[in-house]
Amino acid sequence: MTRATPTPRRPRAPASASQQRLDPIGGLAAWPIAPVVALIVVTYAIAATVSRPHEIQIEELAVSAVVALIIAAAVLVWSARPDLAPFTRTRAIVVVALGLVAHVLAAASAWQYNGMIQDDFAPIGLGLLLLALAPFRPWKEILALGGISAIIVGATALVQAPFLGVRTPPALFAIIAMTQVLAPSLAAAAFSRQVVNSIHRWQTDARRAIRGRTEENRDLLAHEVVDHRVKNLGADVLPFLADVLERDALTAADVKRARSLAFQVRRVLVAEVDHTWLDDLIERERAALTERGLNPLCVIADPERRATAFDSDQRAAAGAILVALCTLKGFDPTSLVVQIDGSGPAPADTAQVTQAFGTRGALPAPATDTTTIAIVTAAQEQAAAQARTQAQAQAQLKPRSRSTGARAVDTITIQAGISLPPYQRRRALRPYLSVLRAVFSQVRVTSRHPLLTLEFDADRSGSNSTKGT
Amino acid sequence: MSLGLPGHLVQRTLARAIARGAHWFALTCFSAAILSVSILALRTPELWITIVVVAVMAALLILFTRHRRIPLAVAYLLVGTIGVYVFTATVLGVPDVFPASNMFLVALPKMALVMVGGAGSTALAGVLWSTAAFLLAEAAAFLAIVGTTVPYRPDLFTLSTYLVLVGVMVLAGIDRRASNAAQPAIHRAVQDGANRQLRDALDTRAIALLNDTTVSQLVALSLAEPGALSPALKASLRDTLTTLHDTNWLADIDARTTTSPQPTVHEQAPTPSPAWRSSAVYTAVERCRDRGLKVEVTGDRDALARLDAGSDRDVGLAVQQCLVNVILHAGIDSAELSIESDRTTISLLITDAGRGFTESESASDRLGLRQSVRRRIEQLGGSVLIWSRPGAGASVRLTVPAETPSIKPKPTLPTHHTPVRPGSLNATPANATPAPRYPR
Repeated sequence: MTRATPTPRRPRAPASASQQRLDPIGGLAAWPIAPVVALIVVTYAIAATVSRPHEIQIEELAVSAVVALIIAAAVLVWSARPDLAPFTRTRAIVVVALGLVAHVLAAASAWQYNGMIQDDFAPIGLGLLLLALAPFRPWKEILALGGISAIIVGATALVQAPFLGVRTPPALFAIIAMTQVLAPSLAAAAFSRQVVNSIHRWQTDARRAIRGRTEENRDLLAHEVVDHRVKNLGADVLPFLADVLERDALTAADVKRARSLAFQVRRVLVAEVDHTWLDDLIERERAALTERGLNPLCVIADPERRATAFDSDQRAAAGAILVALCTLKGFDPTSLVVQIDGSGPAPADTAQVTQAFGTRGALPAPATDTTTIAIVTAAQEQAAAQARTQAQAQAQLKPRSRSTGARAVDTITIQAGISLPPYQRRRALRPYLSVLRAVFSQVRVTSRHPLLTLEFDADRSGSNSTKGT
Repeated sequence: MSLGLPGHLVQRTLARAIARGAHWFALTCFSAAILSVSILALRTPELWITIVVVAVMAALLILFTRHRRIPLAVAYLLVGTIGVYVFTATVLGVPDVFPASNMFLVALPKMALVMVGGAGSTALAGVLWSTAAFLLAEAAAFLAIVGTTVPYRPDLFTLSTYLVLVGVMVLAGIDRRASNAAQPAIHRAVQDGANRQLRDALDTRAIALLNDTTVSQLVALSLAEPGALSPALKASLRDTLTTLHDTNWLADIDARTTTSPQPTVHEQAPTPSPAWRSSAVYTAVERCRDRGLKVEVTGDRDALARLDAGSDRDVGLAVQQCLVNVILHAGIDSAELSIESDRTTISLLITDAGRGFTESESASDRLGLRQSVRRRIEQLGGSVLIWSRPGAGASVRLTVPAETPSIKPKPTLPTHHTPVRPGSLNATPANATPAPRYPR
């Protein structure tokens, strides 16, 4: 029997993914749902309370219920604000918890005198609040919050059943109340799930396409790199080597010259090795600004080469905002300063024992770090390998345990002078900032006209820069 | 993730997601309606008909969610209208239960019907479908209510559901991103990043290779005694020049598996297995032996066959650089290479009993280990550990991930010391897949 080759399944979106997280610019477009829903919830709560004065027994409780719901709506609007993105789980829980408090207070205020469950404002308000979470929170979370709310709302309805004006089985009231919460929650969860899956699918395809395009360029890039390297080698080295080979003999001058050339080439190569993506990017922007007839002065301060520790998303986001700043109208080409410093250890590339097999004739000196530099004596036997493996394991463990103690954070600071009215500047940079907020743990924007300062943190303690969900 | 949806996909994606949300809203309403009337039907058996009606509507909706076609939407709308009529008339017809017509229970099928609009492909279509559904549902309900004794009250539940749905569709339909250049800019930044990464990888390799060739060559010349060139020096000089003049050296490296064997070969060692001889590490060891270094190889040599072509090449170059460092700096003419492997990694330990070094003295001269060894190995996902002290020799351990062996490799030649062959110049065996021209 033959079996069809199974088609490879697309990777699934991470459970913590939301529209806002995956597509920050899309999340930006979706944010008006929060104030609109808040307005509806508050208006309905006030209208429903005012129109049923005969049911209310304890006015204070009724007022507190409305106030609690107003606070819930306010928290929703505040949490959804693009400049405070991302909408965290804590904020979602606070919104729903306040809605539940409003519900319990409202039920208590009309205790034994509530005519009907269906016209209570709190379950519907709660349902709408949950609906507004759709673009901001993962579907499982919305579902869980909706489920818990529905159970509480259903239970309150059951408790009130004996005193209601309609004579039907109590379960009916519970079903009605729960539906008011569950229907919008399920709708929101379904929306969130569908949108996240669509974006994730697009991202997977887009990344594949980007990889493909990059691979297409491989030959071209290889050529460029080789050309660049050979050119950098200077006109001296190759003719010198060829000359020595041709003469088939070395003079004392040749030896001296070889030494100086070796030193020069090595110095150039070391400088090139220290180059990071950030240097490349700024260099390109500098060239673009010069092309526009400007006289740019862009400063990068990243002595520990921390830029190398940024992942590809962080590079893309930081790169995009730098390009956006440089091309913004009113950008002062002499004002750009990019600085990276951090609290954790510098990227492994420079921090560890990156030493060449030193210069000739090394002077004996005591080892400075006995843990990482173990003494290796001559002619190791196979048995000694075991001990070395243990030493290696310890050496590897040490920096790791150190980094887990305190939270290691790299902070990138971008400063630029932009003589644009604050409103226009904000509008132009808003989408880029929303992307930065999605990939960095903290984004701070300060502005003292015309100087704009952006600061964002990249967590280095974990494996990735995932923020509190 | 920073790759958001591009403008042309936004509408379609949001429309689908709203449709999904609307369908779940409707299904929840249907479930609640069925549950409620089932409870009521225990006392009033004539309500069973409503269960059937709602079940038919739900079935049509599920069919519609599976196949989003206009005839199904029309069918859902028509059957739903009849359903709303029957449901409203039957439920409100139960005597002495409901005080007025505006009961949430009665609104459930109407709200579900309005949700048909969520499946519209555009905001306008969605609004039109929803409006049609709303009007039909309200008309059917009105006719049904008129036939009962219950007083008519406007149903705010259906109305507000309709308004919220329309609001959401309109909100999603206004594409406020159309004029926004940010999304393409982000996309470009990601593409740039990918290009830069590839370029960096190529550059890393290029610098390492230049260090292996040019710098090593210059250092070798600077250490040589004036006078006639030794044959080994001459050969390596020629090799360096050929490598650098051939502008395709980066591309050539990739083609390791397809290069033809080198012409200057004559079989020498009787013991080495094909797996070991075809590895780039073997070639590296041989090249350094050609330069007069005695290299003792121990351990699981066949494990190197588990490396793919690219890893094998880079590990070979890294080992070569370590051995070249011994030749240039250690002041000793022998070194030891031991190979260990476990299920997921292969470790190579290069040990010499030479001068050794400290961290501080290598600050200005860190290119060899850093670029040619550490960067190469780290690009493969491996790690490099160095132990050294002045006067006490040096050890470098390269650990690289390797494919899990499907069959346990034969423990051939464990701890068997290959005899050192100082005179075996150009001793690449015939069936070895030689590494590309890189210098000694």
